[in-house]
Amino acid sequence: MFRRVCVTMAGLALVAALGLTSQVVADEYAVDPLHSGVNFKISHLGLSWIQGRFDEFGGKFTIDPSTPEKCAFALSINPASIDTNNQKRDEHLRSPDFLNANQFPAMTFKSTSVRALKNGYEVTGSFTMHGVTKPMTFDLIGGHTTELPKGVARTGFSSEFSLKRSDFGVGQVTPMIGEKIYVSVSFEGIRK
Amino acid sequence: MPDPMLILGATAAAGVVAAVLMLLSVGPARQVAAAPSAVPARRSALATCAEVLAVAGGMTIGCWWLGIRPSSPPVEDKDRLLFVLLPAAGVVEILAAVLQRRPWFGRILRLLLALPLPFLLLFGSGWLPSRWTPGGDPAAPSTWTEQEALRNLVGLGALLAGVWGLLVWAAQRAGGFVVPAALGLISATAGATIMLSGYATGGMIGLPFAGVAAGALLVCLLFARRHSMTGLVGVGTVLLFGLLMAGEFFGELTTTNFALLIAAPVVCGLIALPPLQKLKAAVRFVVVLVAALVPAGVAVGLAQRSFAAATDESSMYDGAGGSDAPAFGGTPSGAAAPTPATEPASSTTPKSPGIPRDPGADEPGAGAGPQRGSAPIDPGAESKN
Repeated sequence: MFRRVCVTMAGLALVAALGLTSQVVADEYAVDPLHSGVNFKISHLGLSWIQGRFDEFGGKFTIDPSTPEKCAFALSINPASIDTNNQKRDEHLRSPDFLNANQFPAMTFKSTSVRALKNGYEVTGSFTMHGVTKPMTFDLIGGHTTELPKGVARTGFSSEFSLKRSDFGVGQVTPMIGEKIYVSVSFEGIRK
Repeated sequence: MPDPMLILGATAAAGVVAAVLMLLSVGPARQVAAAPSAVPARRSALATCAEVLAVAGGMTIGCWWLGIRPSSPPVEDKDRLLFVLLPAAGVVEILAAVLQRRPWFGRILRLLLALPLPFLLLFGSGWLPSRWTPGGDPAAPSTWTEQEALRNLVGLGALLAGVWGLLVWAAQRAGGFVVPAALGLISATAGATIMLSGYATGGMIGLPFAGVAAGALLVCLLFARRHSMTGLVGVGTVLLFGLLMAGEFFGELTTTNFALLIAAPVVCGLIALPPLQKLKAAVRFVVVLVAALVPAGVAVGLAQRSFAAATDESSMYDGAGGSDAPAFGGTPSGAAAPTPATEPASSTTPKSPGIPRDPGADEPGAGAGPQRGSAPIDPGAESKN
């Protein structure tokens, strides 16, 4: 009788374990701004690069290793947080002549489809800047995971892409400032 | 700052178009006036329609000349001002003229447009709570709390309603052309002030209206002396207020300059004062016009001083020797022919990592939209080495 009960319980436990492992739940992450960066560079007079970054941003993403199509990424950047290491230039960039940060308080990206790559994901989505939304595709490289501190799961990705100011109505075309902005994004996420 | 000749050209073109459109209405207006059963309301409505059409045509050609291309659907404040609010003001004035025997109707219409106008101009901006924008992130910070936003928007709407009503009343009571003339000049001054306050493309919208007012006034002076021009006054008031809001909330127009420029047309209300009514029409015109232009002149003087100081500071750092856009290069002119900047070479995969892009190399024309870059170095691969 006792043996029968034990066998039954072991069987139930085995079934439960199989049930759990067959359902891999997607992991949700919140972007960790302390270990992330949104940087850019733009040509000045064709002589050198003006480097800059955005200091305020946030986002979240979902990773499902077994079903990459279910992955999703969303990022929001405050254009008023632009920093090119020159206060006057930053004020000009925030003004209606460029980013018009008061009128358009957020630059956002939201993914619409994700495809797995050997070392990351190919992400397609919509990017909105200066009130204009354009489709965008880029490769996210990374996806390694670790725990730091113990119990806090992390992962991270990086990407580089370029976009044209004129596509989004940011500033006017002028020989002084390049039309293309080269963006480099690297972010870590903390699993919720 | 944009090319002064470009601005003059746009203003002149706007004036010519406005004058032509006004002239086209002179014949029909006279026929209506001469009819045995001439109804003042029909004459007034026809004349108001002509003015609104003159403003629409003149502003369209003036903005086109300046290279201002509003987006459709409207994306930013100047799109909403040009595409939605000015036409709405024109419709309000036409309806008010048609029903001039019921003046309260016109007042109510003006109030109904004036009260939501500040909200429409600031819609989607960082000033208003994100919750007020469909699809906005409720957690995103905004400059105003909901209470502050409600209070400020209602206050601004009431201010516009008051100024609008006062100017229309002054134009109807005193007749003559001082109110539209002052409004035209003040709009141009406001435009210049806003351009000097960090919002070049927004401020430029005020300049063609000066031409429109001049063209319409000339035709009225020659052919229709007794008309009060409430159509032009109403649309002009909404334009001026919209410009000032754009300058204050999206540019760097100071609150002092905002107050001076909104007070300037209010001075036109003086024209209805009994002591001034005793003066000859020409003298009254000059006195009131000069009085109205004083605060506007002060505002543009203050803005010019600030602009000059900012340019001096930035040229000391940048070495640009008087570049008129602080620190980053020239403020783009309104209709400058685009000269694409040279760009780095196209993104073939670098043969070895670490070779920087040449900012001066040409880049072949790429398709529209964002483009992928070269593969970034995987930080995970770095840490394993």
